Amino acid sequence: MTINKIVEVIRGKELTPPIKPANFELKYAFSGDLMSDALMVLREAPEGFCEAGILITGNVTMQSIRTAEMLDFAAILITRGKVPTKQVLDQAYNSGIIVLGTNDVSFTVCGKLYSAGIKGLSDL
Amino acid sequence: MQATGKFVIESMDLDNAGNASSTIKKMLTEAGVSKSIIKRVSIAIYEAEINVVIHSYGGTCTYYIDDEKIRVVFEDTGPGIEDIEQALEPGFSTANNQAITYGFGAGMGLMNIKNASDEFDITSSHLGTTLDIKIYFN
Repeated sequence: MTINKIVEVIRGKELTPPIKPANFELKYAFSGDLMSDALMVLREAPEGFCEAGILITGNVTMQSIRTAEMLDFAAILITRGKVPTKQVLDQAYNSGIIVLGTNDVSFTVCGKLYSAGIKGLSDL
Repeated sequence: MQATGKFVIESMDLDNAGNASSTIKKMLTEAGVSKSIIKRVSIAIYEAEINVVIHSYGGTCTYYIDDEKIRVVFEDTGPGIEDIEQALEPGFSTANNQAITYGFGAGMGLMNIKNASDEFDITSSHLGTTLDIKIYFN
C-alpha cells in the first residue's frame, strides 16, 4: 500500500518531507509503546518485514525513532494526535524513516490498516 | 576491516541514547556486513547503551571490529547490578518512570542482548558493571 493510500486510510498526515518514491509500498506493521518489546519480538522477524513495515506507537520520543532505525523500519506512525518535536522529526528524516501521524488511538488505526490489507507478524 | 573507537554515555541522557549504536550500524552497513548480522549487532548495542543511560551513573562503550567479528565493551561507574541472574529474568526491572516514558524498563533488555550476542559476559559490583559482547560476521 502506498504512503498516500495509508494516509487516506488512517485520515492522517505525513510529518516528514517525502523520503521514498510515491510508489513505495508498505506491507506490514507492528504496534507497541514499549520499545524493548519491539526490539525483542522483531529481532528475528522475517527479512523484509521491517524494511516494508510501519511501527505504530503512541511513543513520540527520540527513542521510538532510534528503535525504528535499529530495526530498519521504513515508517513510524504516531497515534493519538501526539506531535513529535522538530529534533525527533529531523532525526527520523536523517535516518530515512517516514513519520506519519493520526488522531486515532493505536487500536483503531491498527484495525483500519489491517482491514485495508496491512499484515502483522502472526500472518507470515 | 579494522576499526576501534569509544563513546561516552551520559546517565539519563535519553535524548542522545543510541548515538553509539547508530554510528556502528552505519559503519557495518558501509563495510557490507549482512543485514541480519547488523540487526543483531544494532539491537544488542542499542539495548546495552540504554541500560547504561537508565541504570548507571554513566560510562563508556568501546568497540573493536575486525574481519571476523565485532566486540563491544560497556563499562559504567556504578551502582552495579545486585543480582545478575535476576536481572536476566524476563520482566524483572528496576527502571524509573522517565525510562518507562521513553519506552524502556520492561525488563527484557539484558536478556535481549544475551540472545542477540554470540558471546556474552557480564560482571558487576557496586563500583560498576562491565558487559563484554561479541558477534561474529559469519
